[in-house]
Amino acid sequence: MNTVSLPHMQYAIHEKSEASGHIGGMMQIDAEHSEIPLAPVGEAQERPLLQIKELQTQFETKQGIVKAVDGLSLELYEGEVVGLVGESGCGKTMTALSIMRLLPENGQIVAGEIGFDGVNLLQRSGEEMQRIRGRKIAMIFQEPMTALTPTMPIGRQISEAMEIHLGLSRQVAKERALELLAHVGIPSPQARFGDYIHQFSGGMRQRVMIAIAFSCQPRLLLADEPTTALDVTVQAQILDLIKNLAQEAGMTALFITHDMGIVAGSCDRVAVMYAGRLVEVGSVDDVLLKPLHPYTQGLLGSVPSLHSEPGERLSSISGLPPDLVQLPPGCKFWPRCPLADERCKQEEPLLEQYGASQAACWKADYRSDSISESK
Amino acid sequence: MLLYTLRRIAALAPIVIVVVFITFILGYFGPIDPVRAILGEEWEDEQRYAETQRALGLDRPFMIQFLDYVGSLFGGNWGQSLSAYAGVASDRAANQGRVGGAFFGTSTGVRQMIFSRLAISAQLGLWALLFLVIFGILLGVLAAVKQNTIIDYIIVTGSIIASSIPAYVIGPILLIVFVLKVPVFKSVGGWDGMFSRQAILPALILGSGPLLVVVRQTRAGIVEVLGKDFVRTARAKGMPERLVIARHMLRTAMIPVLTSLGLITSGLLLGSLFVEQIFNIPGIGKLAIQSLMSGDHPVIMGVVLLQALLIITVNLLTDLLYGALDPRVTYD
Repeated sequence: MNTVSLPHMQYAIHEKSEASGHIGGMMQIDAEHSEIPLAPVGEAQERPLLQIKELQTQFETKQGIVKAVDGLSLELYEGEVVGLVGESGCGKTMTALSIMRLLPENGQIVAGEIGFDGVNLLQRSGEEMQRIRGRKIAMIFQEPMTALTPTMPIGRQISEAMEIHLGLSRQVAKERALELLAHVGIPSPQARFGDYIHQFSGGMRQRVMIAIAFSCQPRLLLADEPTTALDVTVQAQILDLIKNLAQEAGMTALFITHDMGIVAGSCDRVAVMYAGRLVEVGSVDDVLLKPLHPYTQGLLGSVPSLHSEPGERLSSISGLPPDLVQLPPGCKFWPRCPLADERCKQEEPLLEQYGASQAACWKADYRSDSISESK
Repeated sequence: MLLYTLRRIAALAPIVIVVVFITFILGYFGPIDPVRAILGEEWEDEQRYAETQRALGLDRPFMIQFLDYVGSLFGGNWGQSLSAYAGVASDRAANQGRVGGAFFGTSTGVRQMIFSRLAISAQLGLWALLFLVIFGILLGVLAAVKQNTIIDYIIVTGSIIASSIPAYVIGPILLIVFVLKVPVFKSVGGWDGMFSRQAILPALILGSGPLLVVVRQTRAGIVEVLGKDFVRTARAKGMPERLVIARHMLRTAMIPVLTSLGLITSGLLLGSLFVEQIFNIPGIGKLAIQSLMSGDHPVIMGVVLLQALLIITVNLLTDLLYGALDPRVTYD
């Protein structure tokens, strides 16, 4: 189990054991549903906390069925931070919403398995999911401008989930919310507890969002582009805040982003997503320094570097992401790939181990060889 | 907010004066001759006519009459019903038993008459409003949550039916059913106080008229916020759906409903011509009919003035309630 180092978090656990009835009941329910008994501490690293297997999420639209997530498999181990990167519309957010089982109405998970702590989330009832959301898995959304309720004081938005999940009284939950507000860096929390979201700046709103996400000490954090909508100066602060809080609590996190800088600075491993599937997975060092997939290379090539000469053009990936309603056969990236040949157009490559990381590319073999040769 | 309220009340005065002026003009040039109304068949006697006209002050120039009326209004005197004078038509109506006896009142002061009638209409209106708010919003939310299912269709169709059958059709039908066939209610009408059984049927009928508006607007309001990001956040926190609706959706969804409720409320409090007539309830609606039939011009003026005042007051209250619903609204 996680060791908890936040001072207020310890206090919270103390509170929890006092409010025994409710919490005890909840724990029992959780134990009943877990198919695998809790692993001993030493084995924690062996078993992934989150294990997505062949996930397929589809949307029904007027244009046809959109395969937003198409056979995605990904594992997150206890305590690690994984970055999920890719262009807009490649299915990153839908992957996170699939995990939360909060897809929009026209969306549906049609196949696959999402194992969380040994339990397949796709087989949980709505009520069981309610107990997992916020309590075990929390999500930070991209748009702090619209993601918080405009007609409820921000303090209540933080404390209400603790009342539900931790069985805290309204007063205790309020005290906890005040501590959380102070902890996420909101000055004079007492005075701001009753304020509404329109009285906050974007960065402050995202801090409130973070306080909500961390309030019930979830085991898994899904952060969906938490800094995209913010000013550049605020982005770094918010990122550091999430990183530090997650580290303090030993939390497992999935960072969804299209910013390679965030991946480099915050993640242990990175998964690159293209057209609803993963094309490359590996440790941050491996993937950023020795990208195997041409798409990853393209993404990295489009990041400006300190060594660029003035006037030098950034390289970009030609073409557009494929239409998710009518995916081409073979490798989904071939129309934009400089290395594509006949085989790429016919057969779809699967994720395979090349050196330290995995890639789904027929040409990866050749590239990993050339990289090791060049060493 | 206090300052805002005071400013709004101050702005009331010119509106009221304009309303009074227009009503007064209509009365002055309109077809109703108070002298004829009082004298009945005797009006052809020129001497009697002139005497009565002088007694009522109607021989004075228009502006003098108007200023006199406005002046006494500010003094709290809304004038005297013509029934204060002998042989008045509305007294005849009372004698013919067309009026709910006790409530017709002994007072002939227009203000006293109107406010005693308003008390009855408002009590009835309050029940109707309560019914409307509770059922309208409940059904609207249910229809929105069960959007495009059979439950949604039943609720919407049901409220269309409830709202489109006129009171003068459903009223007698309900009376036949619940008084004659299944005698749940012993007497046919009249008014026996707010908490008597007699109040139930008229309140239901009065409230079901605007039901459709409230149901539809609540439904539309909830449907609009259903897909909002903040609703998803509330769900992502693991809030039970019931609390997501009650705490996160309802307040935002209620803003357009409040607009309609404001307009509906002044109508409900002022009573209904049909419902009060059918159930023989001596409220404002019935008073309006009586005074129009008997040409009791001071009472008509009073009813119109009261309507204007009520509409303005309810409007002000609605504007203040926006602030309670939506924290972004400020009153500066």
